[in-house]
Amino acid sequence: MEPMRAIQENFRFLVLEVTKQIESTVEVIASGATELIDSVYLKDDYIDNLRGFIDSKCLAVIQGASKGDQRTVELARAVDIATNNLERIADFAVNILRQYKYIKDTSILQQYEFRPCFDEVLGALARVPEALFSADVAEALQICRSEFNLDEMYEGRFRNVMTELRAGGEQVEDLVTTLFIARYLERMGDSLLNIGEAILSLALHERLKIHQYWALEETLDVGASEGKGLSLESIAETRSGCRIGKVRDQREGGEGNLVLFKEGNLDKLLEEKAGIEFWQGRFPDLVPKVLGWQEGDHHASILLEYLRGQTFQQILLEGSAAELSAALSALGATLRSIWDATRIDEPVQPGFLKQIRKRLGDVKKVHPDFGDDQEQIGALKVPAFADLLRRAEAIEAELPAPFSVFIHGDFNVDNIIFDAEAGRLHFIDLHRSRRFDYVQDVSVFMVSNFRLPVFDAKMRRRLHRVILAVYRSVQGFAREVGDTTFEARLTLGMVRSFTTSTRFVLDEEFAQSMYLRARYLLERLLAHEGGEWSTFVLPANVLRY
Amino acid sequence: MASDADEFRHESLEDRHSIAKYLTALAEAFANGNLTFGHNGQAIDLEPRGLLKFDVKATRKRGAVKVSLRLNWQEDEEDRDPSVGSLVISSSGEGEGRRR
Repeated sequence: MEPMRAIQENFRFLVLEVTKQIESTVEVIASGATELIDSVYLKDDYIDNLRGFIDSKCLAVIQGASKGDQRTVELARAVDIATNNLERIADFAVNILRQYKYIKDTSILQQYEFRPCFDEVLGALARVPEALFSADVAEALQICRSEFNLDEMYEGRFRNVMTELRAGGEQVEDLVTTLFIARYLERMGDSLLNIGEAILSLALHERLKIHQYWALEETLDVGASEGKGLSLESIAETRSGCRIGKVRDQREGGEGNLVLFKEGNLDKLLEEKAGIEFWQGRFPDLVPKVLGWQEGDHHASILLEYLRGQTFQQILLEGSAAELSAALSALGATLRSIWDATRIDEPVQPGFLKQIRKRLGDVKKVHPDFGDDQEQIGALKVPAFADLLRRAEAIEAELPAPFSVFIHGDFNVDNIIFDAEAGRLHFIDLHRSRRFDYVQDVSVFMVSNFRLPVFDAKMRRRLHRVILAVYRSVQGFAREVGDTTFEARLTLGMVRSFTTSTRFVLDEEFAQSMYLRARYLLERLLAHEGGEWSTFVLPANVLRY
Repeated sequence: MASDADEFRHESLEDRHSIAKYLTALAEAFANGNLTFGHNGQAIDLEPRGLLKFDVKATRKRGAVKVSLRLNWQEDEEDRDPSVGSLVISSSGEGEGRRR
């Protein structure tokens, strides 16, 4: 017999046997049929053997499967998880009967009405074989839901037991035993949830937890029965702890388009949504559309238009010279049109030094030596970086930006997407978008190129040329609009970005090179203090590694 | 310089007065931006520009003292390889990006 068929057959047996164990337990509790208890104990060994048999068969399938047979492996894995959890459910039934023996007055069990709990378990058990072998999402969800129902039932009984215990009386032992029984039923629910999740994972080809699935389902606004219409293409964890997945939207009107699903902290995602809305009014094509939104107490999920193209970082590292050149032109034109369209001539203080102070603690966690580095060489005193920062505050106060524009706010090379085919540029990760000094985006962008950990000489040259090209281009813009403190502010912005970026760089030498650049720039600024800021020029040699 | 492997090395015994002459010569050369190291009519001419990485190290171990000064820098890539072009973003604003 083909191994998977043998597994299926034995699995169905297992479900039947576990079901019988539960039914016997119900009978004992409902009608005091204590003569059944021993047969339940005996049956438990048989169930154990059955589990062992299925276990080893599944393992053989998983280990022996050829590469192309991914589907069989996934099924074997799901069966294995379900098998072990079924065996646990059977164990809980045995444990319930062990507790039953301690009950002095069995009428308490009628009073606590365990029948609905057992029915919930039995109902879910009946669904397991079909749900599993046809990888049915809707059935799997029903199995998962029984855990939530059982939890609720447990809570109700728990509260009642507590109330009675507090009231005192002679039933203390029986009440405690009743609570144990309720607890075993609740744990059956946990096992059922594991089974349901294993089937969901099988159906969606992804390791998926039920709350993620529900977030996804609610965001997509589909009923459980339509669950088959979704397919998760990939899932990943972002640095901010959000989970992000690519989903194919097969709802009516969804046309099977790819959409992006993000699930995570409510505040983070609220910021993200606000950022998108910030751009939506004036630059609707620049940012992804919000296709769905779902929020709970602390969690939220958002469904976003999936933007085609490559990130600027991908183009930098893998693209041809022509692709890079096209992306750069699009970047220049896009920034220019945003800045022209949103400019308001009102001074704004970027506060780069404050941004450093806020993050210096995180920097020092990674690089403890940065900051407090006062030194002396002969008569020369070398001030600590922290002192340089303090001294520069007076300079920064003199240097507000003459106008504000819309900025991305986290303008890293991987937050820009270029669709070469359409010649369009898109912004993503917009949680810090606001009206601000454009120099913020420019300095973050320049340093995000610099800090890429690639050390091949040719690639470094490429990064250097991109940084220089952006610098020269924005310098031209600043001259055109008469922004005379641009160079000094850009220098402060570079100090900020070089310093704070080191918290993401574990390569000590590379981090040091950025930190020393920040120091160098600060010292150049301080050396210029008292002079005319319009004559200050960013020492461009820091742009090359 | 034409070759990739120019090298100069000097060793001598000095005292604290005579060493000052060397250090002064180096200080002046850096200040002028022109540093020449010659040996038997061969010379290495250096023009320190851009960022200089400066590393000072002093150690004292059971009376053995060592003070080392190290300076590193990169010559401009255009000086070494003039064929490397630069990237330019068209300043007309007429790129391929989105327009309002």
